[in-house]
Amino acid sequence: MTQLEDLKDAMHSPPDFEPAPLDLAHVMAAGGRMRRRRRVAVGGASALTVAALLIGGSQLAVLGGPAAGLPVAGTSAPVPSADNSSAPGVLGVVVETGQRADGRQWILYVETNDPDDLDRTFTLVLGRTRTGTIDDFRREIVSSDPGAGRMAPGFHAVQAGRLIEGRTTPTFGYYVGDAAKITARDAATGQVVEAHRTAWTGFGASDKAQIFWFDFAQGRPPAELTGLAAYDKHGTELHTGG
Amino acid sequence: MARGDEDFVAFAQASSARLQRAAYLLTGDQHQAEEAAQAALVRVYAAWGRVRRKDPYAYARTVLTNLLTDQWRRPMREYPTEIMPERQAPQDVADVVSKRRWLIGALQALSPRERAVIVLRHFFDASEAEVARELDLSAGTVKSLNSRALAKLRITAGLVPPARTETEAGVGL
Repeated sequence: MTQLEDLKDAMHSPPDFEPAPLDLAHVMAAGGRMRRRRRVAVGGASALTVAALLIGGSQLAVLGGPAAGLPVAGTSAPVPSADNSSAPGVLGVVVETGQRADGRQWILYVETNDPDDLDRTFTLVLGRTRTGTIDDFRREIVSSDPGAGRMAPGFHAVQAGRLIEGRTTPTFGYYVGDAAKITARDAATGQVVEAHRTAWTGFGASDKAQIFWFDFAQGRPPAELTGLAAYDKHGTELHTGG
Repeated sequence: MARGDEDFVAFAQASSARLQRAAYLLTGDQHQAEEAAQAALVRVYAAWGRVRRKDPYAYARTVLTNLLTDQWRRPMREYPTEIMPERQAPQDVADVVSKRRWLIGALQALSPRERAVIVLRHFFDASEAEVARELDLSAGTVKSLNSRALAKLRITAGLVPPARTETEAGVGL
């Protein structure tokens, strides 16, 4: 037996590991629920429409629509569920940043294992895509608050911009509440900068948030931002959570 | 039970153990492996109407890999090491189980990306192009990660095996 075959043999019969019996009833029940949610979400959209969902230039209406007065960061496409794709659990809009790295555009979207329990499962993902189709989404940073309280008013899952293998990522996160403006201060210049915001909605009437991100220059070190704040339409500072 | 469900049941029963083993190799954690394999099968069932006539196993592999490679896509959590476990003494090599245990231990000591490439290439027998697509890496990176990982595992692909000699303890190198 060659050494490579030894490795294959070891991988196919790893000591100290015994596969657990498959809980087929649970698998089919959970898979069935996932499939039904997709059907509800997709509604009358044809399979062709779903297969052809592209981020760039989509003219399709956003599921639930953006909140009044909210600017939309780039173009967003409705991706109510990814049951029809290999990207599991995508829920709601996919936010296009317009910034590309290595031929792929940075996108922000929400993943969840249970759309009925967003308070424990809401997870924000910074990813990249070349084609804009769900199957092509690649996760770069997966961000979530620990435990419950993920839909409580205030800021959540905030990630500072960083350099990943030469690629600059934005500072991003999501805010629960009726913010009309989200700002931060550039620690180097002292300048106050405003975030791009996109309304996000889930299946429930109260499942609302705003996904936000700050401008960044691809290929250059990200700005160090401090003093994250949210304001209502009258300029009053809102709850920041915590 | 519908015909499609019967097909899925057969598929799930046939592939569950292998998916769990792959997840275990990727994570080193039995509980996490069970959960990941089950989560992958949930998603395969949700998409069964679309994937059953294609290659459901490849789909399951892709879903499983996507679920488990989240960790190494987070740069803050990647702790690759050049320090590998000491290979066992010659007398231990005769012990097949101990050799397997050393290899699995060495596999866990690889960086997450190296480990993912090794598992996809040599457990799932995926091509370099498939691995590159599934991990969003260039073919060259997959090739170099594979070479580096095999070197860390003290494995030379295609090496002619050394002559074996029978020992009192069994078969030794």
